[in-house]
Amino acid sequence: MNCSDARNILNSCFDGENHPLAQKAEEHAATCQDCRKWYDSTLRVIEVVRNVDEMPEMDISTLVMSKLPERHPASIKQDTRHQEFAWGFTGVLAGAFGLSLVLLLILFLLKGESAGIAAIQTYKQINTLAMGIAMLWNGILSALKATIEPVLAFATSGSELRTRIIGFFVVDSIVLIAAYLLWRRRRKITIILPILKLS
Amino acid sequence: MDTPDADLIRRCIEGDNKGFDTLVKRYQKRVCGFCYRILGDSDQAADASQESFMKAYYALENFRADALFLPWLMKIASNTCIDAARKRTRRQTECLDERESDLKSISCGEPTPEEDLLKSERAEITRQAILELPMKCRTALVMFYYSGMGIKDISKALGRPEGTVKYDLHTAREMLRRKLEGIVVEI
Repeated sequence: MNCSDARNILNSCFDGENHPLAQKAEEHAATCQDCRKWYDSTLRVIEVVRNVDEMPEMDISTLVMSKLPERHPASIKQDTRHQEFAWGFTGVLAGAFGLSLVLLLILFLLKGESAGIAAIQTYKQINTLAMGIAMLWNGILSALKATIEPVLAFATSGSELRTRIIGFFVVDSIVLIAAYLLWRRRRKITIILPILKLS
Repeated sequence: MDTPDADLIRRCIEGDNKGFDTLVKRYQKRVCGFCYRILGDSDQAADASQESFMKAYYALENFRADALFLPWLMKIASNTCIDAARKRTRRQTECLDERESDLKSISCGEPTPEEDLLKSERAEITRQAILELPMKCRTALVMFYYSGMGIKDISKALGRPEGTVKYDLHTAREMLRRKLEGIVVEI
């Protein structure tokens, strides 16, 4: 083994590596005067560098924390995004729901009870369309549509018009609240979606 | 058992600053030690350390959860120290030659100094010698011997290949060996 190779291997050992030829390099250093001198002086340098002096004690944690805002900007941004979307989503649905209610009442007042049944059909269509637009916006259209259809069937199966209307609105409100809560937990929707999908 | 760094970072991003306080307390000694060895002045080191942690705080969003926090933090500290060193207008380190002649005059003709004084002088010379190393070599040396980082972590922190880091470290040791030979390091 030549001096250059031996010193390279010994340098690797100084770096904390387990070199397979370390022993051979040390044997070379034991026999070569120049390499021995280099090896001993490098070991001494490492010892001196490690023990050079004590660093002054510094506790900067209080200073650092005093300069930080109360909350990380990312958490504020996330809350704002959630709130904006939640309000927007709820606003769209509430608007669609309210509009269809107004239309239903107008038809009922103008045309009387006989038009009520036809109005419910219209309401279903408008409501479904409005909810469809809102659901499309947040990406869970298919899941809620599958949920709404049997709900609508149940809501319109009562014998009296008033019962139908009340039942319809109550069930619809539950669906809206469920949609809002699902959106707040949208990261888990990929797990929930297969469960919600109705054949 | 200590809370993992990734959990503390996640808590901080979600709005709980106590997570970052724990991180500061956990790593301030290493960061301050690194800055002190690089800049050679405790006040500048304290400023650079604070600035490093502040930069890390605001960049937490960009921190990859699968990466190690210490190399990432040391990278920020390294860049901060480089900027601080460039901004220095006043030369704060004395030439090694002046200190060398001081030590020789102490040991050659004068009465034998107190052992502590000699040790202090040698420590000062070693510190100055480290400060006179090229920045790349100095950074690798300080991270290896004072921040407790391995070659791999230093490579990640400095964004340089492992081979380059090893070369810089070997060069630093060799330069120190030649500078300190006969002064601090007996042949």
